[in-house]
Amino acid sequence: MAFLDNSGDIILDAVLTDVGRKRMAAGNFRIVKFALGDDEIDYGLYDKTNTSGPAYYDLEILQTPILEAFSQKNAAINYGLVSYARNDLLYLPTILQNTKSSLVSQGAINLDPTYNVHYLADNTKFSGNDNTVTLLKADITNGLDSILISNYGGSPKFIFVETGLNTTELSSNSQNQNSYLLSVGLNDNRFSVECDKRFINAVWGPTAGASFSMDANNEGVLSLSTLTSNTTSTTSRDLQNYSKMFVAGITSRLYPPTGNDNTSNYSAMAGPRGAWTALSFGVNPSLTLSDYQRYGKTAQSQGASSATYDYIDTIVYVRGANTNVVLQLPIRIIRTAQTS
Amino acid sequence: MAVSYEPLNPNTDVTTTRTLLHEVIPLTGTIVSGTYGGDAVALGSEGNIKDYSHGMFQSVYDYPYLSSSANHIFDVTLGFDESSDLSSSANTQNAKKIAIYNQFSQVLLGYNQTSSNVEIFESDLDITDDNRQMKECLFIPFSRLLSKDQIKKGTFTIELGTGVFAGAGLPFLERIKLQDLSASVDGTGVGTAVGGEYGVLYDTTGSISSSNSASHGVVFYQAGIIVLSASVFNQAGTGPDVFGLATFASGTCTQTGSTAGTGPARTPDEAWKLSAISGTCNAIRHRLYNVSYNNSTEINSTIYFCRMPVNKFNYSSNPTYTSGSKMVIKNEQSDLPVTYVTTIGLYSSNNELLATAKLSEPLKKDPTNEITLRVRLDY
Repeated sequence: MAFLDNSGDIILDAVLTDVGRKRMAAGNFRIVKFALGDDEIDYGLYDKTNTSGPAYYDLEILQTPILEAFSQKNAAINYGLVSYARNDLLYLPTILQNTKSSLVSQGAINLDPTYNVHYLADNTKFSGNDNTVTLLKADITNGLDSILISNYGGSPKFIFVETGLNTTELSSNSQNQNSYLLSVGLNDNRFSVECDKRFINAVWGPTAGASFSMDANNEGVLSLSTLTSNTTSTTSRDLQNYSKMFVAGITSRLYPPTGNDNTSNYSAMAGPRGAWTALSFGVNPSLTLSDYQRYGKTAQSQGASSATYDYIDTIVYVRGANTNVVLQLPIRIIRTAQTS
Repeated sequence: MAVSYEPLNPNTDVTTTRTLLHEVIPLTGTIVSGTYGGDAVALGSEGNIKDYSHGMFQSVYDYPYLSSSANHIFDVTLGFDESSDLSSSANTQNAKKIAIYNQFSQVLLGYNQTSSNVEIFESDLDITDDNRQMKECLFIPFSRLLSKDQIKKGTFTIELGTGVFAGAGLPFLERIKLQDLSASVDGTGVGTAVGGEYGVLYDTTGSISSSNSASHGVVFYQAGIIVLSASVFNQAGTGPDVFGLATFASGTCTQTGSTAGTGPARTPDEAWKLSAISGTCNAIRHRLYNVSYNNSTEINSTIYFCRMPVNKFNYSSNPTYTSGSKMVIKNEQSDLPVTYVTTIGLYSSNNELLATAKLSEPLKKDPTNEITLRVRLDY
């Protein structure tokens, strides 16, 4: 795939996608809407301090070479243009994983920096008398808890995700939350979670009664007694082999108390918080040794011990339903080395 | 994917058009018999010529056909009607030559309702008048790769060497150039048969002395098939069915025994009768000087007018669009948001991406301008 010639008039290079060709063959090809993308653009090149004037702000952006159109399923628009009614927005929400120690103590997990993954352990698999989690905990010596147990089994762990405005220019009070997020439709009441359905068949999320707020002692409290599973999925239209499931998004009530604002000890967002969710996953029970051999690795060590594991690395995409912000979570599906 | 969708109104945003695209197809004779042949390679042994064990036609490629780079450009074959004077069971491949003629006639002309026989090709526009019949014919069906939807009317030219067969360049010392002079793209000057429209190929060089008007074949435009009378090689005769040129072919293409290095000189009627189809096809290729025509491709297009109103698509979910949640393209809240369009996705009602289009350079979009992008899909 080459760049398009951008030396003359603007031209359009249009192709049918694989799905389009399939629909055409089936006789139900019908285009009813369009969307726009800007995947190639690095807005960091926008130089609004250029002393030559506004005409020079986007000089570099306008010279961005554009690749030819291609037709695969994931060839579409990764970062689309969005329409908001107001033109005076200055901030747009971000999505972050919260690994604050105060949250970790309440069940949130970290990324294992050694392998840059979160572990999703199939704890039904044993080596001798020790299950996967027991062995893995012994091998992870950095002190970080980075292990999810498949289908939320045993002691509940989760990946905690927040949306909001990660800026110190705005206070995280409820007034700003309402002005910058809630009143302009930039809060997520649910998140879509896209997983490779070959490996993950269930997503767990918070129940409606969960909350994240400051208590009377000015400490952040995550009230999350349980997670609920969602196995209802739709096939992802953007990613091959992926399916999409939804989990609830809960509006954050973590506002700074009077006096000292200590909310940054609990939240990953420096400014107004939007919604949060807590995620866990279920490993597809039909995964076999040959799947681990084909898509991952088998009999690998993860630490100093002699324990060996089978694992598959995959990416889970978490997207805010209203804000369209996306977080990519690297997940290592792992089990003690098995023979079948 | 994080995007906002904008509906397309089928009444105002979608339209269809039909255009004809023409390509010039020049075929030089050297491709047909010279480039991969020459003195060291016998006619018929060129790498770009494919003969079949059934021996009913010969295929010509633009490159040695065993290569995956080779493109099939046309076939050559010949035949005669069973009522031809040349038809005799003693002739070489007599039944196959009749079968070839009948096949082309059946496909292109159909059956004569009164006699239940296939129509006889004629080098005029009226196949029912039985004038100017061509009972002995050369057939050149062009590959669809070249002729596409049809040959453009009034553009077909074929030039054949009528000189002495043997000797470098000698066949082309005298040439006949045939063109569909009377045919026009508006449909005038063409006849219609079951095989589609056809035009008459006239001799534009006047090199053939004939008591008849100088038409020696027809070109079927939609079928992409050329039908030439065998008499086209006749310089001394007095009619289209009379063969008088003594050296129409000789050498390997007329040899009869496997050990013969050269074959006898043959007149066209001898070649039609006594040589195998492939041998006569070799001789004809040896005399093919030039072919050119324009092809036509009908392109049906659907044009989608993707309208971006002033208040839409003014923000981006691109991760670089914000830094610390603050838009990098704004200094103040009152600044207008700016985005740069590079891609258009066209979707079905359930958000399936059916087509995608790329702009050759980013297009600036802000709330002060309204942009309409015209995306054309060709079928």
